[in-house]
Amino acid sequence: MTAKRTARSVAVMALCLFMLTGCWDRIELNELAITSATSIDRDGEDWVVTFQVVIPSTISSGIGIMGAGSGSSPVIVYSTKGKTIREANSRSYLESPRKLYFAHNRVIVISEETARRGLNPILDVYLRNPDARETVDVLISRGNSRNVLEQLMQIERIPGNGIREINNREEKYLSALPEVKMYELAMSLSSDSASTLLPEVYLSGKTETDSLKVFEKTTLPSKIRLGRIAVIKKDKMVGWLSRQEGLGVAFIRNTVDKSFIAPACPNDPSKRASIFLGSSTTKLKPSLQDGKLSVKVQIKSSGSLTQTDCGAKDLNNPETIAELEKAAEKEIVTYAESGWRAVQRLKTDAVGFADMAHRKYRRQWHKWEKDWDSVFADIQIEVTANVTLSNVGLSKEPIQVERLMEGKK
Amino acid sequence: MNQRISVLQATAIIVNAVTPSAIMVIPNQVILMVKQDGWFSPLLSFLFILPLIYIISGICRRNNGKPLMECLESSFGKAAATGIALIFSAYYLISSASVVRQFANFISEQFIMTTPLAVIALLITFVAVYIFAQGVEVMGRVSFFVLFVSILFLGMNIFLLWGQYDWNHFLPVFETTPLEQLTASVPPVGWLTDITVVLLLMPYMKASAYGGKAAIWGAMMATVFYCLIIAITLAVLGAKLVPSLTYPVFAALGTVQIGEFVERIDFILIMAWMASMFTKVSVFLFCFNQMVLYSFRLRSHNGLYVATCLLVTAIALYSWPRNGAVNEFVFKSLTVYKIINNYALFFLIWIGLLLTKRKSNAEEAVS
Repeated sequence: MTAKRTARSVAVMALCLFMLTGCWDRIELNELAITSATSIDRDGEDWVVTFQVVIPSTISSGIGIMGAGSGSSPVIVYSTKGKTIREANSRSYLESPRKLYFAHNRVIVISEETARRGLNPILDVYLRNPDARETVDVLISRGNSRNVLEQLMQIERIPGNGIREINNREEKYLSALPEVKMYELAMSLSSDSASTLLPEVYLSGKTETDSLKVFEKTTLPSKIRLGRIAVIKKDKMVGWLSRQEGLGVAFIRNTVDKSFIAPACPNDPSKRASIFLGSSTTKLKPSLQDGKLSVKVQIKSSGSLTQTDCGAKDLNNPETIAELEKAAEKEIVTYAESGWRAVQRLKTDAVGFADMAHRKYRRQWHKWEKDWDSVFADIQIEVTANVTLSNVGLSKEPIQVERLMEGKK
Repeated sequence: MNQRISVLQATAIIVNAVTPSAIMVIPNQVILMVKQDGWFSPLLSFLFILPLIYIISGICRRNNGKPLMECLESSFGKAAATGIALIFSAYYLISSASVVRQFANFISEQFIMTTPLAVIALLITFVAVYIFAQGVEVMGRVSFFVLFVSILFLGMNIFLLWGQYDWNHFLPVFETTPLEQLTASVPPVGWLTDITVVLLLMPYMKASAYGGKAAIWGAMMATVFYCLIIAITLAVLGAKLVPSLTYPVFAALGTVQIGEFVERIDFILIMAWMASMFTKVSVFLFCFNQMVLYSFRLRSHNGLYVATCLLVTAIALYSWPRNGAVNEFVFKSLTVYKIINNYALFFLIWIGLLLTKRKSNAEEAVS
């Protein structure tokens, strides 16, 4: 009886083992092509999708691009074309011995033309398919986006990771260009303001760094850089903002984490000081006058002086600091106003005033939302800034050799 | 009837019977109707569920630990009790099948896309049947453990998502009309009515008064779960994007990214949620089994478990030809079905019990 029961239990367990092996979806690591970056271009009505695929054997050891010692590129880049994005993806089976795997895809670079023609199909692909992660960073390239993916980097072996890190660091320390993930893009475009900003990535220099030979030199002929800020309205790109305008918009949107500004010296506008803003918060105070919306933008920042060419001044003197603070405030107001003018010029509510108006004036909102563009065009803003220089660094006055020499005498 | 469960275990069984599949549906349904005010709907629905809790407590007190069907038989007669048991059998069969299909769809769409749905559905039902075949005590212990782990992991996810919350997504507060709020509270009411499973657990509880206690604690915990899940989804994704996503809760949890290595930790909660889905199916199959045993005067038998497993799998697979069809059923018909079966029917039973009690009291007085 016991032996019979044991045999039955073993049979059931063996059956379970067969049934729970991963079933039809079993796949080995060496059957996967791990994609680190994707780009999307248009060719007529067709979609061209480019994949930057990691070659595991070349990145498995060493540091830096040449560290592995294999002398071969850490990634390969190839493109496929189709009537839809997913059809283009599926055509990778015509040329790749491995199945594309997108779980480690770090960035998606979209060409300007694609962005101007509409982002809806891209959003649909990323929010519909479980293999495409919605936490991927979205960037816009000014020309063919494939060129960006072909570019190798010196410090970071996998360029896709490198682009993401650049974007992340920029947002963290400069705040002019936002780091936007796919789900954030969908959220922004579906919000009341129906717009967002995306960072531009481009190749600076003359030729592309797509060969390992260029890494034998200390300077690369071309490199990946972040540039301007693409303005997206509904699902289409409508224009560009400069970095200064982008920082101004970031101040209004209250998305500045840390940043650097270089205000003109109070006593000599031809010279500049440099201030690192450690924190910044913006309060928007909307008000209605004669049915027209106006917004007071109150920016409060604190930072430290990192450089000054402003002539001989005692930096322990509160008056000197107050002058520098005023100069910094003026600079921030200039940035914010230039950003505001740019978004009004593009007729795009990239500052998110629609969401603010909906929250503050819910009754009027139902009238405004029918023609928000014209309401947005009539909005007046008044920007004020309040900067506190909490730290002037390790020197209590500007370092000037002449004065130092005088001091020695 | 040797097996006994505590009030804590009964509460865990109720929470597991009410919450897991609802969190796939409720954020979508509620946020579609009342947008950023969605977090409030479960609180409102809790008020509507209080009369049902009162009815459950009343029946528990009256039964004094006897099986529900025995009590109904003594009050309404064998034929009426058998009719009621058949209605409940149908309800628990359809509900189990829809939960199995929802769960199988989720696994198929998210993880193992090429594995046939039949294999996934069969495995889910097999595990659930195995759990309930071990008895109520095992169900109670498993439910309690799963609930504990779910709360722990939910807390962890809430903490890790902190950076993603945008509190402005809740503004403006109470923009929707009271009528819209009332309408939006209907789906949570529908799901909360499943607390009636406690009536079938009565004979296994250590004291008859535990039934009412477990019902109220179960409903309260489920309401808190609903509120939290809706609030998290709103805070992360906002009210506009949620209605277009099939699994917004999991999409919101999937946005966690800390540094380069900490990401997709939603898997931790999904793991606990999957365990609670197995528990839910097992609770519903237990109820179905109880009703079938009573209706056809059967005794528990291994053959019956195998038949239940195959029947539920077949209904789950072949009642809805497409995944969309089961979503349509769950979104539109199931809520109404739950309210009719769990709320209206128990209300009528309660009225019937009161009337028969009055009649028997009058007869006693005359004699």
